[in-house]
Amino acid sequence: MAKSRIAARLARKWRASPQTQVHAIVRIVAEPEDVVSVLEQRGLKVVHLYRLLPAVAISGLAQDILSLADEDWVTSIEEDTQVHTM
Amino acid sequence: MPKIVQSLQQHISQVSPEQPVRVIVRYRGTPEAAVTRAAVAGRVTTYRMVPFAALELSAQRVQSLAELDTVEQVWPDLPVHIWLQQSIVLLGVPQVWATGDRGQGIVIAVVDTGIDVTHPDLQGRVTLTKDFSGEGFQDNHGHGTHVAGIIAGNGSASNGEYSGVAPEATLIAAKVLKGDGSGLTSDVMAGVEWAVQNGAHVINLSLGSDGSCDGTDPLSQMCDAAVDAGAVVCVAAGNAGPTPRTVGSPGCAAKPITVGATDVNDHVASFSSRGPTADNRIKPDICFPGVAIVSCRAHGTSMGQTINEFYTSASGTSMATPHCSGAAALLLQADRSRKPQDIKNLLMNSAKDLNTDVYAQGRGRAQVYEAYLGHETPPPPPPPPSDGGGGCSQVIRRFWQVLPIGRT
Repeated sequence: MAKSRIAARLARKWRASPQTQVHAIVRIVAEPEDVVSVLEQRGLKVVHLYRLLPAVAISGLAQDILSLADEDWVTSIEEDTQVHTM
Repeated sequence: MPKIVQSLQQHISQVSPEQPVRVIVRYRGTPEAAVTRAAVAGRVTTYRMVPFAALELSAQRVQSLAELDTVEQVWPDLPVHIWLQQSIVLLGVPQVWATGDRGQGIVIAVVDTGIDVTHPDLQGRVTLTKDFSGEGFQDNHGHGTHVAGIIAGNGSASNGEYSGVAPEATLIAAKVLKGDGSGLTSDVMAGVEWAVQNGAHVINLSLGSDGSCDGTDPLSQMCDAAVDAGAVVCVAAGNAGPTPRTVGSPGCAAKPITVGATDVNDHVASFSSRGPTADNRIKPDICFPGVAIVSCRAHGTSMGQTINEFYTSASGTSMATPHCSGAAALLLQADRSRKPQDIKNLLMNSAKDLNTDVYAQGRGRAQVYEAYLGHETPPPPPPPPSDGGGGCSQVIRRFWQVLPIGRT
């Protein structure tokens, strides 16, 4: 069985509130520039494109981000969490 | 009252009679009279404003000098030195400075709350900035300025007392945390990537998230990628100690140097996060001083315990981490061919064993001058494991692994 692209706990949380605006970091196997139009067509906002690590930071409705879990060019979807000073 | 102060009396009783001794003598009468009298004794320095003279004479002659009616009192002429922050002295940093290396030519990125570029200790030192927080680059919190001062402050507002570790290094800064000290992981990742793209040799991350991790999260992976790209990355272990398994992201990242905090008595701070990581790796890697560290205060902020207009004192692995970044800069300056893993190995292999749990201290408390010289501290023999039925928490591990330069 293929490894899930999104942690079960996060998927449940977002399915419970599909219309909530959320932020996510999506790791991909495509060139970041190639996925921008695809993401924007789904109503998602691209906040950052990364090159050191093949990933994008996006924001949008939880249900729209969840739908990315079915895409072959997506390796993982993680919530964009808070960090703080130490 | 004896004419010879006690410390001098003690000294001359312990040295040979012919041993030269430097003293300061107070004579009765005017400064001019003191000049005349001092000439008889072998004058070194006399003064116009006070009837004192600084002399050098043999230990056995100090006693006879004191017996003169014209002499009121005799003190030892002691060496003086500038006061430096204790952490800098503890690490052996001044010995590195004595070689001429003070961080020149090394670029260190501060990924934090911004920097007050008007601070006297940092003026003209921050060559590039970028705001990722949306608030504007100004440091409205104070944390980033404090961190920057520890790394590279030149101490100009304190007559050198509160100099940073690499006071001639160059700083660039990404503001990724807002005025309340918080930010998004994605912005921190963008700040790290920006630092690499703009030529940072060292990247300081005195920030993180709570909760145990295994190094596979995006921020940890970005930090690993930054190391692979050639930057030394220093990250805070976290402040959730002393509970085990509290090193959060990016402290759990494999390739950066994860820094715990010690006090000036070489005790690991109780707040310093403990390992292991969620995948049972040893973290932190090493400790630096991180308790009551005085550094630059951003204008208009009140973080920590304020000392004066320009300085404030704060504690945290946030304060330990920039000591590591500054140290990395000094080691890089000494040999620009060194890779990030070389720097990590030098620091870890020369650290002082604090005789405590490896998951608290890592390799121990850094000894920057020893690292600079390439000295390695011998690993102590590991104690026999204790199976008292309490599991891992009952076992004090001392795990030393000498890491060969060039190998990950």
